[in-house]
Amino acid sequence: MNESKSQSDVRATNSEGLTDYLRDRDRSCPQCEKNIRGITSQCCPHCGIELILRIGLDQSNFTSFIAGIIIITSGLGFSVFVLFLLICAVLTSIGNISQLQQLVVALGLGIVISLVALLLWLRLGRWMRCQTKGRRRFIVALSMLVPLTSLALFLMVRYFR
Amino acid sequence: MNEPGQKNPPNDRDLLKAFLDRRDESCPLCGYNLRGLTGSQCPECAKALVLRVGLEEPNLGAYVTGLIALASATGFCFLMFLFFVIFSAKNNSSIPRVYFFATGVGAVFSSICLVCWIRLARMIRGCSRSKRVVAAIATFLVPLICFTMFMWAAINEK
Repeated sequence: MNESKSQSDVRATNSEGLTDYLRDRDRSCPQCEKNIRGITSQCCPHCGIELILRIGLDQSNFTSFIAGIIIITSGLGFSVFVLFLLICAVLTSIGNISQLQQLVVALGLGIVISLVALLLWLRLGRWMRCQTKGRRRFIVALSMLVPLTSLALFLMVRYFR
Repeated sequence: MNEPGQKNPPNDRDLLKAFLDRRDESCPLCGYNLRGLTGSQCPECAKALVLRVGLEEPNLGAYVTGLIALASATGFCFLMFLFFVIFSAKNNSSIPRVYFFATGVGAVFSSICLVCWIRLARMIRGCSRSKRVVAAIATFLVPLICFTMFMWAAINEK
């Protein structure tokens, strides 16, 4: 009972804070981007989405974080799909398991490297957003090593066979 | 100049101070509890803080799922294409053109889908839960199409 009362209190305070904030400010709805100056409720009058007032950074620095996820995931996708192709080849008797063993190891290694890099990237997300623009770009450029490593491992096995 | 009796609108700093007066909010960067903050910087990491209007529920799950599906398809096609280019250049071997075609078209197609997904992020996040789930599942069609194209190339080459 008390908990639900305190929750409704928090909600009322949030709504009050939001309407106070938007009384004299031109801000756009994060969803539909229409001006929400002077709204009287906690919902956007244009798209109806529920809004909240929250603390944010002056500069969110989110682009490089997303770019890194895309780059690292592309390496993971390569290793996973090629491994799946090899499994299909073995199952349909196109390829011989003993011939493909080294490739499977290389691709498995690629998957492990990509997964570790992805986990690290997600963990270090906050730290990365603290860095300067130049450093963030450098770290994103470094993340390109992950898909390149996956490709290099695959190429190496093909060459040395 | 304000007319008598008219209040000045509170500035951003005052509002931030009032907002954090009775709230346990954490710094979005370092997680430090900002309750009772008097300035506009985090005392722990010194990053400048502002009040911002956001969504009650950010609805990021489906968006990130779609991003992963599309990025993995792009990575597969693009790196396979690169592999064929390097392999054929180094070994002077003639890799059938159908492989270049399948991976090249796949790379362009999945890249376009990825760019569209990033551009439509706001729209996706604004959809109902069921629509978001359907959209996220639909993105898995892209890696499936790319994979099927590659298989089709392999079968045709045989």
